[in-house]
Amino acid sequence: MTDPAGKLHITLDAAAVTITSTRPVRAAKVFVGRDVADTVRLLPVLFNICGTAQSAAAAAAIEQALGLAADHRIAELRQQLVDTETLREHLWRILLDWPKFLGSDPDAAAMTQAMRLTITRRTALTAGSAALAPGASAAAPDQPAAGQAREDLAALCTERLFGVTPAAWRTRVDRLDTLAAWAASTDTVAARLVRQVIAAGQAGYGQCAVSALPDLNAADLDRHLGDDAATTDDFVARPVWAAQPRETSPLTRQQDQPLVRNLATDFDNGLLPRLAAQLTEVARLLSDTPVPGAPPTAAALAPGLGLSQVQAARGLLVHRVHIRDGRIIAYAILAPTEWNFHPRGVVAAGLRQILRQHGVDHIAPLVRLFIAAVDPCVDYALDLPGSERSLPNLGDARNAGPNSEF
Amino acid sequence: MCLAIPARITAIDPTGETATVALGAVSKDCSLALIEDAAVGDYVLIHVGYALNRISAEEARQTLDLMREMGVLDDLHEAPPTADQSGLTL
Repeated sequence: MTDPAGKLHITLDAAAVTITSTRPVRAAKVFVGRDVADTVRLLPVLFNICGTAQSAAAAAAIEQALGLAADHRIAELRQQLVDTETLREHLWRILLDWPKFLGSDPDAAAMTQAMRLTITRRTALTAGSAALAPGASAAAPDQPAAGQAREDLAALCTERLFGVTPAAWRTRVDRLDTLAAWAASTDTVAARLVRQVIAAGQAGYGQCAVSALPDLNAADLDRHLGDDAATTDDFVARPVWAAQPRETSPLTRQQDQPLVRNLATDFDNGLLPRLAAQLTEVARLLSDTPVPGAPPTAAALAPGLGLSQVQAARGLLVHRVHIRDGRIIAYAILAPTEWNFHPRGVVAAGLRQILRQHGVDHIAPLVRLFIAAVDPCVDYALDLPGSERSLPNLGDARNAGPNSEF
Repeated sequence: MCLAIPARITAIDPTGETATVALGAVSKDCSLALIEDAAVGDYVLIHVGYALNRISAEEARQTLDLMREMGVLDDLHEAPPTADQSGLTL
C-alpha cells in the first residue's frame, strides 16, 4: 500500500545521490474552508508526531491573523511544551535508533519511561489549561511536578546516555579531546557510538557546503508562502533561500555551543558534530535551556494573515494562515525535513561526500547513520549501489519496529 | 508535517511484544514496546513500526477522514471506523 505519511526515497550510485519525496507537504490545504475552531481541533489530530510544535505554530499564526494579543507567559509555556516534545524526539533517536548502528537492541524500556515522563511534564506544565489554543490566557503550571518530571528525565539520561549528569556532561565535554575521553570511559550507547565514529575516522564524513538557514522575518517568508498555490506548493516541497538549499536542525541550533563549535573547526558539519549537537541539545533541554534560534515573528502583514516560526525537534517549522470572516482561506506549513532532505540539500550533498570519502563498498551502515544524524521525520527507502542494493535495512533508523510500512 | 497512522489492533502475539494492526484491507506488524496494556480492538497511532499511543475510535475516524480528504488513503478503500468499539471495522 502507499504509505499515507509519505516516504523519502534516497538513491545512491557510484557518482550521484538522488532524493525524492512522497510526503504530503500540501496537507494543510485540508483546512481551507474550515472555521478556526475546527482547524485548531483537527490540526494536532492529523500532525500528531510533532503535535505540540504544530499546535504551537498554529496558535501563534492564528493569533496574529486574528489580531489577538499574545500573552508572553503563554508564549513561554508553549516553548517549554515544544522543548519537552523535542527532548522526547531526540531520546527516540538515541535510545531506539543509535543502538542499531552498534549491533545492539533498541532501549525500549528507557524510551517507554521517557515517554511517560514527558507526558507527566506536559500535564504539569499545562495544568489543565488549553495553552495551545489561540488566545489562551495565562495558566498556572504545576511547577513542582513539572520540575520533578524534568529531574526524573535527567536521571534517566544520566543512566542511559551520559554516564554523568547532563549538567556535568556539558561542563566536562566541551572539545574533541574531552569528548573522546568521555566516550572512552563511558559504556552507554551514545558514548559507544561516538567512540566508534572517532575510531573509524568518520568524524568528518559528510561535510558539505550547505549552510544554515538564516533567521527569516515573516514578511520574507510570506512572499514564498502566499495564497498563490503554484508558488507556495513548490516552496513547501523544495525550499531554497537566496537560490540555495539550507539546513535547519539541532546542528544549526547548537553550532555556537563550545563542543559543537570546537568540533566544527576540524569536521565542519560532518557526522561527529551532528551527533554531538543532538547530545548537546538533550543536555541543554534537561537544564531547561530554551532551544535557541526561534526568531521573532512580528512583522507587518496584511489583516487576516498570520505567520509563525517554531523551533521543532528537527528544525524550523513555519505556519502561514490567511483567515477571512472566521474561515481559513489559505494554510501552508513548511517543515524542516523539506529543507534538510532537499534534492540538493545537506543530506544529498553529505552523502555524495561520503561516497567520495568511503567508496561504495560496505557503505550502507554509514549512509543510514548519517541520515539518522540529520533525522528525517518519516520512513525512507534506500537504494544502494551494487551488491548492497538488496540488503535489508537492519541499521535503518526509520525501520525501528518489526514493520515500518505505515 | 509528520503523520502517524491510526490502525486497529487485530492480534497480539503471545509475548505481548508485537501486534498485528489493520488499516483498510492491509495488515501489518508493529512493536508494542512503547505502550502499555494494549488490547485487541484498540486503535493506536503507528509511526515507523511502533504503536505510539491509543486513540479513540472517534479520533481514528476523524484522522482517517482527513487523510481521505487529502487523497492519501485512496488506495485503501476502507470503511471508516464507527464510534461503537464493539463493532469496529476499518
